[in-house]
Amino acid sequence: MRMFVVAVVTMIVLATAGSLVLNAVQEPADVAFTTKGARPDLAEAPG
Amino acid sequence: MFKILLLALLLTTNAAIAQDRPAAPVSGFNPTQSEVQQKALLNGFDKILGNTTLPDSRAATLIQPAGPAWRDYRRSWLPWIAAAAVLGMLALLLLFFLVRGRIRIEGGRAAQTILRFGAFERFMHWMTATAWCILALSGLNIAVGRIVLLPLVGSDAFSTLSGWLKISHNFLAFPFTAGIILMFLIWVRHNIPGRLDVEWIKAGGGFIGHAHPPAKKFNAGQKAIFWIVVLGGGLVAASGFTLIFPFYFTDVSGMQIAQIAHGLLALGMIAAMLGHIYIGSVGMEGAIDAMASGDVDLNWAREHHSLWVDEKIERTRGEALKPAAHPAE
Amino acid sequence: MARMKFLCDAERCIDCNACVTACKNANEVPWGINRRRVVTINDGKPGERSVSMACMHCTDAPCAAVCPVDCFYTTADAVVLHSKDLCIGCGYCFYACPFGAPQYPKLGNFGSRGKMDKCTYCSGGPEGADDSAAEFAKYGANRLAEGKLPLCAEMCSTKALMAGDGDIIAQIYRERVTKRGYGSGSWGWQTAYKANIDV
Ligand code: HEM
Ligand code: SF4
Ligand code: SF4
Repeated sequence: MRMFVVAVVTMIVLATAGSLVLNAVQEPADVAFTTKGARPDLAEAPG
Repeated sequence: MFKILLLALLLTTNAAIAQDRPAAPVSGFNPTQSEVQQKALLNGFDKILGNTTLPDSRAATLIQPAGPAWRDYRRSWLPWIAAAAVLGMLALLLLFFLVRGRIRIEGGRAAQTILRFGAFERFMHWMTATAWCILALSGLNIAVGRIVLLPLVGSDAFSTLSGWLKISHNFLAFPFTAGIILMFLIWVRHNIPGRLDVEWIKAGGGFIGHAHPPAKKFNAGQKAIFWIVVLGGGLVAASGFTLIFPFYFTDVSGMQIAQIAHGLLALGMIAAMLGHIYIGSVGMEGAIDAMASGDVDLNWAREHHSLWVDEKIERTRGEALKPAAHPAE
Repeated sequence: MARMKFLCDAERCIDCNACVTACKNANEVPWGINRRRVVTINDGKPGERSVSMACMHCTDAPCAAVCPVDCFYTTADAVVLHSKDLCIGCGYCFYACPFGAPQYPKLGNFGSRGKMDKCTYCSGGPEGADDSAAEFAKYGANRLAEGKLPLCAEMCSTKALMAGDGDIIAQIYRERVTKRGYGSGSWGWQTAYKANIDV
């Protein structure tokens, strides 16, 4: 029983770690499928 | 690679079309010359490819007629295969239970138990098993939930549930895969098939009839389960990761194949695991202890793993033995 | 009620991409997503043809049949629409669609690709009132409710791209073919509607 609880906790930890890593490499379509020139970069916008 | 090959094919046929076009006047426009025929392209290739100015390479596929074929597989075949794997297997197990009944410890419970699986082995087993159960349920939901569950709970609830199940399916892939790798590393040396296994199978393994052929740590039945889990689970994981990383490794045709392979392998594995769960719980007296506390009844161990018991007692100088918590009545 | 279809006369399409631009503007399609695109076959070679392609609003739509949450519906005009509230972003509709129409705001299947987006035949979505702000934000324009056809076809400069009742646009195409003496292939019709236009 104790090992079962440890197993479930580890399972959740590994899944969460996986989700964090994968979400960090998730690429949105507006970045992937537009060229840099076409992308409005709000940080660089004047004013 | 496949794509390049197709493109090459497309180019060569274009050259062929260009060659047998009628001699057109040098000046003057002859629009019928070398007309591109949709029909010819559809018959000759698995898809019609062209060029676009979009940075998304998938946009260059104009028509892929395999899409409707994939729909037909999912709509007409998949539900029946899923029903056969799950309901068919449950029916077989019920039949087996009715005919054979619970497999008892023939010598009755002994006064002693013996340590069969250590803490790490049990941890590894339950991590993989728990992840697997949720993967199986969420996978079945993606495959047939629309038929089975949607009419019962309604669109909104079903969509919310499916969204969460999908997320759990995607991320429980990691502990599941880790568990498969650990199991392989730790148990593979006990699972190499040998001569004992042939005799075990010939004697019906104690399932058919009441013989108790000798076996080491794992008998032939358990070895089969091990290889189904390691190889089947490995392939399910490989095809699954192809689906999680869509179009990273392959194009739309490859995704369709990976999806079909993943579904079929997973359903096969579900059928096999239902058998495993049955025999580990209701099907056999004393079997669950091996993964619950790790200590199994000594008589159970002698009946199913005679050679392993002798070797274990000798190697641990009897320290693997413990008095049973509930001594034999 | 009409049976709405698209038809691109490849003989007339000049790959100007104005339909793509019109669609993006009319529907405020998000960056990186193109509901309509122009594909050029045999680019730069004899027999080059360009075809403007979007969702064809198929008969027995493959996307609708494979969707695990059954979020598609077909309107009385035979337009295939879906609910972004129900979509879980699994990506199955893209595998089933013969024309690559469904698209997603994210590329990986990690958690979700986000809500699927595709051509609505300029007829919005299931959001309560037609032409509401909520409908526009999720699905784009609802020109059909205003009695107008999709903007891509409406503004096509060569009238290569046609939208409207299938029988009527097929008749226009037939007249063109008879007049000029050759066809250009009703691209996608066999796959989408299981029928070519015979002249
Ligand atoms: C080990 C790693 C695994 C990965 C990476 C994985 C990934 C996926 C993905 C991405 C899908 C597509 C649907 C979605 O996005 O949710 C899917 C579908 C599915 N998975 Fe898995 N999966 C894994 C393991 C399993 C296991 C162990 C089972 C069953 C025991 C399973 C059963 C299924 C089924 C039945 C489907 C639906 C197939 C269909 O709709 O035809 N998967 N999986
Ligand atoms: S073209 Fe694709 S998205 Fe549109 S109805 Fe047909 S299958 Fe569905
Ligand atoms: S991505 Fe959305 S619309 Fe497409 S099949 Fe999946 S749930 Fe349905």
